[in-house]
Amino acid sequence: MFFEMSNVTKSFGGLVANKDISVEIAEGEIVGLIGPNGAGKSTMFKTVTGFHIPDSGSISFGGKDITKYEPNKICQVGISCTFQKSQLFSALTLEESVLVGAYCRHKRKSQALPLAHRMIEFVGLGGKEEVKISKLNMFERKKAELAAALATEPKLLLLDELFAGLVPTEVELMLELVKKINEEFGTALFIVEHVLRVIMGICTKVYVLEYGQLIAVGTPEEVTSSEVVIKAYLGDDDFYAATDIKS
Amino acid sequence: MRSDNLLRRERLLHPLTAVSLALVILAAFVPIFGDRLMMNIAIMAMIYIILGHSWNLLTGLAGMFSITHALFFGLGVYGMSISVAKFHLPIIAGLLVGLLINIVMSAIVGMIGSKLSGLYFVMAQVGLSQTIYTLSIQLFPLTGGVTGLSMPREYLMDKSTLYWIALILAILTTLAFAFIRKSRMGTMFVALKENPDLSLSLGSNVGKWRIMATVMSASMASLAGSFYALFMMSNNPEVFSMVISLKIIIVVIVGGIGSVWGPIVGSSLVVMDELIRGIMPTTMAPFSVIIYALVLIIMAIRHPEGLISIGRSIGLKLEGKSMKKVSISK
Ligand SMILES: Nc1ncnc2c1ncn2[C@@H]1O[C@H](COP(=O)(O)OP(=O)(O)O)[C@@H](O)[C@H]1O
Ligand SMILES: [Mg+2]
Repeated sequence: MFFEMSNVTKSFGGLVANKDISVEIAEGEIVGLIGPNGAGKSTMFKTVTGFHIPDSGSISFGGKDITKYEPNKICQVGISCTFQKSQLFSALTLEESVLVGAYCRHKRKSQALPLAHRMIEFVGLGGKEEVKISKLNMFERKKAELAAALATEPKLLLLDELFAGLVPTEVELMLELVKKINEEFGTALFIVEHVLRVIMGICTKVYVLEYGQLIAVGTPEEVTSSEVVIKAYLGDDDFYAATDIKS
Repeated sequence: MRSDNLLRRERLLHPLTAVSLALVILAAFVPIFGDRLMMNIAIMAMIYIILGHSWNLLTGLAGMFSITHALFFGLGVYGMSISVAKFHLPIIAGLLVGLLINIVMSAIVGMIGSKLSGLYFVMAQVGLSQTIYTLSIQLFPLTGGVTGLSMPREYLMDKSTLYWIALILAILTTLAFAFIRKSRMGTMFVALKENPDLSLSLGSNVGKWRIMATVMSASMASLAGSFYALFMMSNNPEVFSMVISLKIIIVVIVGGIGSVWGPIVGSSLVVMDELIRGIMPTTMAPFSVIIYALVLIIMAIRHPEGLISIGRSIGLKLEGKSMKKVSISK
């Protein structure tokens, strides 16, 4: 399997944030991860990206056991992510920020720079290379973070609530961009999202997490009509909004 | 794309040419009109420019607060003076010995800095620096103890030679800082200061870069120290003192932290300090540190971004501003 988490458990003191999690992602696949706030989604991503070491279980990528890899090593083998709460590098320019990612693949600036420029163009921020990150608006900052992650040339990209805080028109644009990443680079995507329309629109498989445990997995249609999931989301407006749009 | 790069290169060179020009003009004046006192003052200013760039690299760019920076400077001094006074090695060997000791020491400091943060890093530095200070006194046969060693007369250089060397070193370190800032290393330094987690997740080996920043910074300080030994023709444990560390920090903070201009602007403080010392009775001289402390407090309250920010606000076209103009007109 291209990417596989097997029986991963991660706890903080007495709190079990992830319990016995098993996930499979195929090459180039787009997979969603949903669940109420505090379910343990971000923890799962941080475990995959090497910021937490799981208490038990293993993670493999491209046939390699990456369970104990440091975050920078994870990036080097081809897994990148965008953070839920990111400040990016406010004192750097857009170009320099994306260069940080590009330097993961090229040591020389003369080779990293064209890659960084390509990614800046790709996310639609061409012309803003010299602008300080602190001068970008929220939407631009999210695209900048995406560009930096893409510059590391990932084979698997984890997006943690990339769409949160965007207005509907921006959600549409971002959705197009995310699709384009998958189409043009063949990057597999693992997406945590509250805006369920995003999950419905592009994922072929969705995992549902509640209280640290996976309670369902299937196509978006299967998952949203599942009893357990509806119960887990009872009273969650996002969920109803999304299913309404679908029907 | 190509013209884009050209433009950027021009912009990188522009402020640097200005700095070099300014320094060269200054250089032309001092040996002609200046007396020995003036040359001494100018040399001290150059030394603090070098030390300022060194500290600015580690703290201004990589965000690792170096509180006992005189440690690296002092090791440079002792590397030179011991090699020359005790072992009669050539100057270049003294320079290399200082560098070597500093690389070892800074690798240790850098490793500590990549594991510990904040107060713990500061405490570790103070501990290390006190240890070295004590050793420099106790290892009398090697270091000359409290009084230090005197270097043999054949190493004596005349003032204007020393002056030119100081100038060249100051220009070279200024160029080095500016170059590093724009290179891969500089980007990685600032990135890890701004957001270490994101740097890691973008593949940056944050621990390695922290050690690298410390080693680069210590090497620059070592250069200043080795030169200082030749300038003073002796050593003494006071080169490790907190007063020197404090002055380095203040020079950069007053000038403008993180900017290539910072140490250059801030070194004017050293000139002022030396002038004041010149007219003050010698018993009062140690109190000059109070001036630094006062200036620091005033700057922290009125102009936290350093003198450079005042320059910018009255319309001087320094780095940041001129860059913005070019990118808008593009
Ligand atoms: N570093 C941490 N230390 C202690 N508890 C944490 C830490 N990170 C997350 N948690 C806890 O783990 C649970 C899951 O959090 P998180 O993974 O952020 O959820 P989600 O992203 O699904 O909203 C929460 O109860 C949270 O408080
Ligand atoms: Mg989260």
